[in-house]
Amino acid sequence: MRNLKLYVNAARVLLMGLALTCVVGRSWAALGQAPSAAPGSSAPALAAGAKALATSPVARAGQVTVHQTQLENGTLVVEYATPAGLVFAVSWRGPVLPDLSALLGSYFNTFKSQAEKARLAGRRGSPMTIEHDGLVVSSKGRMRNFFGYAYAPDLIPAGVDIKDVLP
Amino acid sequence: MYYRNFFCRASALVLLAALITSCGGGSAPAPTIQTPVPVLNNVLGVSVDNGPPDTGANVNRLYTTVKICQPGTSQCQTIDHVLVDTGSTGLRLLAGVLSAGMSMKPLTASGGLPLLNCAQFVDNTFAWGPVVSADVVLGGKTAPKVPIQVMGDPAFGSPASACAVGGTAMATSALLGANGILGIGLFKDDCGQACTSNPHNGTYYTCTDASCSATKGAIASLAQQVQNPVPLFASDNNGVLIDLPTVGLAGAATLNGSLIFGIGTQANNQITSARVLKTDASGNFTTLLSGQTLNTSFIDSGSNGLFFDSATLPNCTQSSGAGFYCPNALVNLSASLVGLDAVRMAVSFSVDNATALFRDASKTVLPSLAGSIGDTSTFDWGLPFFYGRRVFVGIEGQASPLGAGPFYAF
Repeated sequence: MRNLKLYVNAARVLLMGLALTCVVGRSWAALGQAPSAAPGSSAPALAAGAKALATSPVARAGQVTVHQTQLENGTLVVEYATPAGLVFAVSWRGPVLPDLSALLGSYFNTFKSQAEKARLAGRRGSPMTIEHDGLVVSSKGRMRNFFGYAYAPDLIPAGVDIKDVLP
Repeated sequence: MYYRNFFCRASALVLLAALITSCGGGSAPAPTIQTPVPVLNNVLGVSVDNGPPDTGANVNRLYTTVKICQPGTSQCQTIDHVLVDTGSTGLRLLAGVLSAGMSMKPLTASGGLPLLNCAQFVDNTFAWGPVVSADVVLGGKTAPKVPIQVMGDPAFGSPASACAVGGTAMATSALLGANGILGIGLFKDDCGQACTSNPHNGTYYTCTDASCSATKGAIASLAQQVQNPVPLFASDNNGVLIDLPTVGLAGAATLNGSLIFGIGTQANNQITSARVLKTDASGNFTTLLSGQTLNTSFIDSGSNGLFFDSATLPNCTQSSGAGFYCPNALVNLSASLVGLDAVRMAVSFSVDNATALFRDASKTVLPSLAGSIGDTSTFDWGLPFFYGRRVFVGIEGQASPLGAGPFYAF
């Protein structure tokens, strides 16, 4: 159902888009950086050892560029970037987690330390929700079925509501 | 023999007593002779407590004791404080708790080198290690030659980065808060068909050389995958029943209950009033809560609270209670759980101030512990959901009087 919603959202974005943005030659897909590379490249950031099968950039002109990447391991990663090419949000859904250390880029240490803090405080084996130091993360699900998102509130373009963007 | 004699004598005494009583006549109620209840072999004791020594804050964590044996032998080891997790599949034990005699040979991937397994968890942790074969003894039931995972085996010390994804390796009891994980959820294996043909599945790996200096993705047949031991029992193999007593909202130091194998197979796992909550193929269903339709909801005994978003419940601000809700006073809520076939079940629950709950460190059973999930489509019904319920877990494809799994029933 959620996947369906995602596709419907993506289709809506496509329909509304006035131009199809294609970002070629960039390989990093981290929060706060440029979106991931076009299909065929190794996309090392998405998941070390897990090649991207397809990356499909779709665009809503002037506001948000959406890149979907289907990883070989079956997990779908979506990056949300400004027209200037800055990834301000990412989301994922699939049987295994994407490489969060690469996907969150310079924000990953905040995620890791906050996740550790929550575990030490007693939230164990349980979903992660983090809002700290300019980073929001929600990671949930369980074996064979993971889903979540991360975004940097400071990087969201003016006039964009993150709730409309995320699946 | 002794017991049998004792039993006969005891029965005779009871009978005699009954006769004497009945001879008394008058208005005394008719005496009943209690027939002894046979001890069933499909029960495993479970408990909520503070976990293995020195392993940090463990609340709402359900533990049991498992026995593993070298396949076909009587060389066995009993391991306590293994987490009972309906959110994962298969038995995973820490290398550090296994005795020397229990060093088991890994299964091999197609290249003849060890088959390695990766299990990721949502709290930014992962388990990495070889798949080995063991006889798994749970109470009176034995599953022979079960592929299990040995976590944190130093011989396979470098996890694939696609497994770790930057997270923390569950390689010690202190980190895990347990000596292992018993995954007895809705599924038979930890990956399924996806891992049988695609080596880049993210769950199975193998070494690239004999010294295992590096690893690469590998395929694993269903029979090689880390398995839920329950379907491998000769009987009582169609699911489990987790039976935990009610706990007062003030919480408790510890709690004891039962993990019963089989659904409708023995006197102790009959369906009396349970209704079926059918899940989708991913194990999800819908929760209706305060006008929200949360359609990727799930039940997970391995989550140690109730996790859902709320517009009114505040997050705790102190470090004790971080990640949980901290309302000023107890909040009572109700939700409806809706299965695939639209069957609706009402569930009431309460949320209390986590910082206040944690003040009494002796309490490890906290039924009103809850926190946010950051999602408008998910309710994670963790261990508090199981308190005061008999929850059946129907395994995928296994026939039962309640139908074939995957389902929950309560």
